Amino acid sequence: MKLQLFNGISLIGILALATWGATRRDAPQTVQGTIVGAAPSAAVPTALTDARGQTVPTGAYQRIVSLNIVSDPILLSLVEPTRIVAVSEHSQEPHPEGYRYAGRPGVARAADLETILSLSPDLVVASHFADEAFLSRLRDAGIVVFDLGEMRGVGTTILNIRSLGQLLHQPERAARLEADYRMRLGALDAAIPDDAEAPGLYLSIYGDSLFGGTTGSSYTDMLHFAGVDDLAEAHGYVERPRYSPEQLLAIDPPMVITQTGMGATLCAHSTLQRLACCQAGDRGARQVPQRPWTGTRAGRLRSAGTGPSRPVAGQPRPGSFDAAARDLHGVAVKPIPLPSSQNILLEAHR
Amino acid sequence: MSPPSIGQRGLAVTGLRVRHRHGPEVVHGVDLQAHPGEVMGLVGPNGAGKTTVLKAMVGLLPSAGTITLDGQDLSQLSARERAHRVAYVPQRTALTAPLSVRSVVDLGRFAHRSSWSRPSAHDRAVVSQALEDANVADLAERPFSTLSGGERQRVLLARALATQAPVLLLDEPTSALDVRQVLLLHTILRTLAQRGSIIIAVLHDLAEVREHTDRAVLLQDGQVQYTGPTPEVVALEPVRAAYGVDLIERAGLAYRLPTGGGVA
Amino acid sequence: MNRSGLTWIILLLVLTGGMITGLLVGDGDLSDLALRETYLKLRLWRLGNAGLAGAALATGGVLVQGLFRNPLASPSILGTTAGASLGGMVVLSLWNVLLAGSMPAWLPAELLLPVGCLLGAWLALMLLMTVTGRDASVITVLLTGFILSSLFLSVGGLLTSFASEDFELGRAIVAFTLRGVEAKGRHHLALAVPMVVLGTAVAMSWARHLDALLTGEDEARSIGVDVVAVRRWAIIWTATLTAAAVAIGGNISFVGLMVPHALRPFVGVEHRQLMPAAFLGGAAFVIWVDILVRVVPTRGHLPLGVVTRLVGAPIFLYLLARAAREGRMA
Repeated sequence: MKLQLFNGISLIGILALATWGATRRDAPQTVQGTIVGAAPSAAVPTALTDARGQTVPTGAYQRIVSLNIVSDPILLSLVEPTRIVAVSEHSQEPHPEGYRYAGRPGVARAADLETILSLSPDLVVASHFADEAFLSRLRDAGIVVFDLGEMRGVGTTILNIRSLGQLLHQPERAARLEADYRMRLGALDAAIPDDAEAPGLYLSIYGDSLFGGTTGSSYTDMLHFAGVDDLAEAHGYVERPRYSPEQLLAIDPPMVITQTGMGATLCAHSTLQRLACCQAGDRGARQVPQRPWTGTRAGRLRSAGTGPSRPVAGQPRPGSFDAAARDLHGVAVKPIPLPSSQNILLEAHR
Repeated sequence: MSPPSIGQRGLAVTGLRVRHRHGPEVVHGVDLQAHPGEVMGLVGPNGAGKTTVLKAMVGLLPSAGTITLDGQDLSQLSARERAHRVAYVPQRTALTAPLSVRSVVDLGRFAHRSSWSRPSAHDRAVVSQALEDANVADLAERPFSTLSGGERQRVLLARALATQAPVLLLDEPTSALDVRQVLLLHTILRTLAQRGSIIIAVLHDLAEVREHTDRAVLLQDGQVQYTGPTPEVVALEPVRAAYGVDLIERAGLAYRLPTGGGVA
Repeated sequence: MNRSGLTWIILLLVLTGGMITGLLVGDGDLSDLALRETYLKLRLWRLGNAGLAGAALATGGVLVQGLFRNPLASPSILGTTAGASLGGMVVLSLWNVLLAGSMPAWLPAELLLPVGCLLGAWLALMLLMTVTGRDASVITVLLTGFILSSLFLSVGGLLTSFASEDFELGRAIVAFTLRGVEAKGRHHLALAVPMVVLGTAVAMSWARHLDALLTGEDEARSIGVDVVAVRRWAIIWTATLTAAAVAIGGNISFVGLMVPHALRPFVGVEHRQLMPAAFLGGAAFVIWVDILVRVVPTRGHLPLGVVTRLVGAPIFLYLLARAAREGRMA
C-alpha cells in the first residue's frame, strides 16, 4: 500500500515536472542586429504575421534561404540574386531557367538543419511542409523564419508574392512581379479561344488507384489556363480526390490530362476502357511536355471531337489586374480567385 | 516484523466454501484444525477438492468461511502479512526463466524486506540454511530452468523454508521425487514440525500418508468425510467409502534412510 | 571480472562512445567557431532525445516482458503506442485549426505534437484499465491491448486515408509516423527527462515484484506479492515510458523487444539488474542508430524508427542463432 502511494505521488510529481519543464518559456528571442537596407516606407509594415502565427519583422534581409520551389523564383525576382544563399533542392534539377539558381547550394528540406545553419542565413522562407520542431531550432539559433503556409496554385502564389514583397521591403517589385505573372497567365488564357475549350480532368493512375487534382490545388489552374474546363471541379470534387472506377465512369471525361504512359495503363483497365477518352484511342492524342527537365512527360489524351465548351465564369473586375490583362490582350480572361481562407495573415504591424 | 508467536490454537478452518469463478461451488463447508508440531495429510480421490482447499488456505482463491491462525483471521491480512505466516509449495512452478536457484530461494524473503533494500546478512543466512535444509545447496548457482523435476520441487521447498512462516502448505510435494528424496523431504517436514511448525501436505500415496503423517483429513466431493489420527483415517472403511477400494494391510516394500542421517 | 560486470563496463563504454560520436558527427563543420556552439547544442538535444527514447522503450520492454512473463512482449502490446500515434495524427490533422491564432500562449508550438501523443497514450491507458477492470487476468489485458491497438491503428489509417486527399497533410502524417529525433530541442528534453529517468527509477520499485512474478501469479501471491498492484503499476509505467518515447521520437520499433533480449544472457533475468541495463542499452542502441541515420548519404529522409528495425532485426537473428547453437533459449 505504501509502495502504491509512493508510485502514485511520484507519477503526479513526474507529470507536473514534465509540464513545468516543457512549458517554461525562454526569454523572448530578439533578432540580433538591425537589418540594413531600405528603411520601411509608410506603405510597408514593420512586421507581418506568418502562417504559423509568428510575428516576423520585415526588413532588407541579406542572407536568405528558400526552402520551397514556389518561393525560389519569387525571391530571385524580388531581391539581388546574391542575397539568396540557398534555394530548394528541386530548383537544382536541370531546368530551362536553371541558370537563375546556379551557384548556390540546394537545401532538400528544413531538416538539413546544420547545412542551413552553416550558411548563416538571416531569413529562412518555409512552407507548411516544414515540421515545427525544425523551424523552432532555426529560431533558437536567432534566425528569422517566415512560413508562407499551404501552397495551392496560382491564388496562393500571388499571395506569396505580395507577402514576400512586404517582408523584404520590396512592395513595388512584388507588384510588378504579380502584374507580370497575371499578364502571362492572361496571355495563355487569351491564346485559346473560348470555343476551343474542352471539358476534361486531371488523372494519374498507380496500380489501380486513381488520383485526381482539382479545386484547391495547382492542377485546376493548369487545366484552366490550358483551356480545359475542369470536370472534377464541375462535379464537386476538391483538392486531390481519389476516384473509384465508378466515380470516373460517372464523369466519363472526354479528355484526360495525365502523365506519359498512364493513358495506356488507364485504358488497359478492364472497366475503364469504356471511357469516352479511351474509346477514341490514340487518334488526336498529343504529347504535351509538362516537365521536360525531369523526364516526366505529360500525355494528353483527347477524344475525337471536342466537347461542349463552358462559358467563362465571372466577369473581370474593372481596374483589377484581370482588367489590365483584358485590355492588353483584347479578350476576356478568367479572373484569378484568391483563396478566401488564406493562410498568410497579412496583418500589418506598424 | 518478527514472526508471530505460535499459540496453542494453531490453524483453524471453519465453513470453508470455494466457488470457481463463474462456476459451481466445489468446496462445501470444510472445517479442519491443524496444530503446531504435527504433520497433517490431506487426502482424497481425484477431484475431491484437496488442491482447492489448500489454495484457499494460501489465499490464492476467493473463499467464504474463516481461516484463522492463533485466532487471527488471515483474510484480513495483506498478501505481505499473510506471507509471513503461511508458506506454500506448489505442485509445479510456472517459472521458466533462467533465474539462479539462490535467487529463487531468495524470493522466499520477499515479504521480509522493502522493495529497495538488498538482502541483509540475516536474509542471506536464512537462504543458505534453507538451501542446506532442502538439500539443494550444491545447486545454488545453477539456473532454475536447467533443473530436473525433483530438483525443482526441492528448490520450491527451500523457498518455502526461507519464508520462515509457521504454517507450511504443500501440494503433492513428493510427486516428482525418488524414494530417497521422498524420505529426505519427510525428514525435513518432521524436523520443522518438531520446531513448532504446522505442516499440511496434499498427498496422493496413501501408504506415504500412513507412514509420515500424524493426522489426516479425507476429502470427498468438497467435504470432509473423515478426520483424525492418520491410522483411523487411512483405514479400511474410510478408504472404501471414498475411493471404492479395499485396503489390504500387508507388509510390502519399505524404505528408510541409512542410519547416520544420510543427508548428502 | 564476471560476465555481468564486464557487460556493464561495455554498456557504459558503448553509450559514452555514442555520445561523443553523436556530438562530433553532423553536416556542420565544428571548426566554424561562430557556429560551433549552435551545432553542439543541436546535436546534444538530438542525442539526449534519442537516448531517452531508446532508454524508455527498452525499459518499457523489460516491464511488459516481466508482466506478461513472455520475452516476446513489446511495449506496444498495451495499445499505448498506437494511442500515442493516433494522438499525434489527430493533432496534425487539426494543426491548421490549432495554429490559427488559437494556440495557447503557454505551450511552445513544437510541443503540440508531443502533447497530442501523450494525451493519446494516456487515453489509451485509461481505456485499457477501464475495460480490464481491477483484477483481470493477464490474457484479458493482452487481448484488450491488442484490440485497442488495432482500433487506434485503423482510426489512424482512416485519418491517413482522408489526409491523402490533402497533399501537405498527407505528407505531414507520413513524415510523422516515420519521424525521428532530429531537430528535437530542449522543450522535448524537458518533457521527457522526468518521465523517462524518474519514471524508470520509480518503476524500479517493482523490480523484485516482477522477479517474483516470473514464477507465476499464484506463487508470487503466496510469497507476499500484491499481484494486482504490480500489474497496475507495470502497465502505468510502461505506458508513461512509451508515451514519452513516441512523443519525442515517433514510432521507434524493435528496441523494446531486442535490447532486453540481447542483455538477458549477460546480466541475467533479475529486474534489478535488467532494468538499468536495458535503460543504458536502449539509449546506446538508439543513439548509435541515429548516428548511422546521419552519416548514411541519402537523398530523402532516413527514418530512425525504420532503421532501428533494419539494424535490429539482423542483430536479433544473430543472437537467436547463437542462443540456439549454444542450446540456451533465453
